[in-house]
Amino acid sequence: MNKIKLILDVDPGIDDSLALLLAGLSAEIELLAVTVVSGNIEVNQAACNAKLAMSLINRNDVLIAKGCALPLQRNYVDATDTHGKDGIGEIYFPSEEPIDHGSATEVIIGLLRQYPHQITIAALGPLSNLATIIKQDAEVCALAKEIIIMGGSVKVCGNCSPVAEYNFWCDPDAAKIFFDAHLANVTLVPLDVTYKIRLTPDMREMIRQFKSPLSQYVVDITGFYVDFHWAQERTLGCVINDPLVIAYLLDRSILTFKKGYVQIETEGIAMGESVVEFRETDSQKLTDIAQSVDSKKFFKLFLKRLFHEHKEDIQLMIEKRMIL
Amino acid sequence: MNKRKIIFDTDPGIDDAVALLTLLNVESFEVLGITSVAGNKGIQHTTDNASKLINYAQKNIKVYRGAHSSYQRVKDGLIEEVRDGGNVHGEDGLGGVNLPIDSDNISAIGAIDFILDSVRTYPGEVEIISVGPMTNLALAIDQDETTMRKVKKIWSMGGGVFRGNVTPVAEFNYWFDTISVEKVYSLGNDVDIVMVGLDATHQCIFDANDLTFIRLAAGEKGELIYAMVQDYLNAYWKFNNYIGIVIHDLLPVLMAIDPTVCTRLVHSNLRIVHQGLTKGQCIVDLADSWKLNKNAFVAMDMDVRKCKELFMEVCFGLVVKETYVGVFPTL
Repeated sequence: MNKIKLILDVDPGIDDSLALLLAGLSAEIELLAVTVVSGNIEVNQAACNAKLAMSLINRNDVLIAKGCALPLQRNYVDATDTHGKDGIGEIYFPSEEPIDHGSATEVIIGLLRQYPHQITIAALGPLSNLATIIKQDAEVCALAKEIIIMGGSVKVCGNCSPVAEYNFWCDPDAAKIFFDAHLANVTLVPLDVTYKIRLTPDMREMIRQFKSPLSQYVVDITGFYVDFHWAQERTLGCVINDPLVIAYLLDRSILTFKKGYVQIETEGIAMGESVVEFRETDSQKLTDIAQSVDSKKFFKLFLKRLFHEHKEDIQLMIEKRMIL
Repeated sequence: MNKRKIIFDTDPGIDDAVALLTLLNVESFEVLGITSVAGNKGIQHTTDNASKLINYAQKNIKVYRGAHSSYQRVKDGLIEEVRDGGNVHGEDGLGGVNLPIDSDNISAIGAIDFILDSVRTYPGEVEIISVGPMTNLALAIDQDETTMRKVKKIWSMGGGVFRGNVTPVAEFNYWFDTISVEKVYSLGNDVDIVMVGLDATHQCIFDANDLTFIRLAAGEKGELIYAMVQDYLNAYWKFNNYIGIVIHDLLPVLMAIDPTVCTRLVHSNLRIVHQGLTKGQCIVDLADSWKLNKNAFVAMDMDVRKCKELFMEVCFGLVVKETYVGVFPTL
């Protein structure tokens, strides 16, 4: 079977790091490149964080490239309040930089030309890198087989304002350029579904019991996140948005979709809002927008992939209803 | 017993009509007057329709003609924007139902003077049920804000948190006149303002079963309402794929009668967008992430069954309500 040729555009970030682990540990995925962008944490630290995640799973072979350091127009606001000063929970503070392979935009353009209509791009941070490419050469993004975006909120509250989700709020101009390009085969995975992906204290305790460097890392980086969710919104456990996109690539039955026309507000009190018109009839403008998620299916897949050697334990915990 | 003092500010409108016919039956309410405003239809239509409905209900209440356009157009001295042609409310705003007019019940006093005089007479007592654009209220605030801060409560149909109708994020009444919305909610520290928006109203769908029941079991008034909502029913099928209708303006009336029909009321900050893609969207900070002043009580969930039973009882009487419960048992 053909592997999924994947470019991961990320701002790790706690949940981004979990997405990197899931992608790097899945044999169905050929991870062509990890491109980083300033978002949850600024791009240099984000690159170091990506490097740490990949080295923990012995995937130092994966190319990591740095992209935009700033949003296109807006002043940059990071999310270190959510992710910690180092972007991954203030325990590791990684400082080892990945090898320089050129800029993220060059890497993405090069790969799209090399493998036309074969590449899946999963963009899990602000869309600054993709928008920069569209501004340079609108045609080249059309060479992607599909582009999956984690961002926005449709029928639920945002996480940066009552109506805006962080990735779009951080760089609304980039998000607008991206959606106004009306690329084919774009999928949006908004907070509406990712809010349902909650890593619970029970799951974290199970992971801790696995007692490996990887399990310790997952427990460590999510601790800050758990405390933040409790302080901020009285949620017990942490919402891990980004790995959902990777899980969906591996099992398409995890999400259901509805088509809608996405527009981005770039000004005023609604800045960063994704406005979705579900009644739009012009098929050129339509994007698949995730509506519902099978969160049990997600966690079975996620946990068994990350901790493959403990899959019997995981299954047992599920059967005993200790988790899920 | 002292009756509650109510002003109904409205742009009838089919759902306005049903709301008004219900309101006029509430024994504990003294309806001081009906103020008309342009919205669903132009001011002539909405004023005439209010007059027709009072006449039909044989009530000795006056209609006070209000703003002919949205706030900015009134302030700029512009003439009325002509909104002709049919929409969801039919050509005349009452779904083509013929009701006789009695122009004697249209007052020579304007809506703004009437509202201010009423509040001055009954400071801290007047409740305004506002189911159209908020232009009259905003103009009254401009004229005498101190008096308007002595309104007891404003029950507003408008806005939405996760829904729109004119656009994906904007509801008609608030979108039509965003400046007035901002002015009214600026009273929120002194006046309780309850927003009954699309999140609440769309939960309460009167389906074809309910409507047929009303036609068959609720007498002449039931037949009238059934006839009036037919265009509306077609519109909901066409635009929302509902087999039924949402009688938006009825819900703030029901909530004013019995606040417990709302099962989740969130005290929040509310701001409105004036221009651009999200024009008319009210941004309600349910999670209090902005830590701004809480100027609105926002209805998010309704007890649908309770709403329907209350409507049957108030609009048509206890017997009809009991028949309804018999025809549609809850278990």
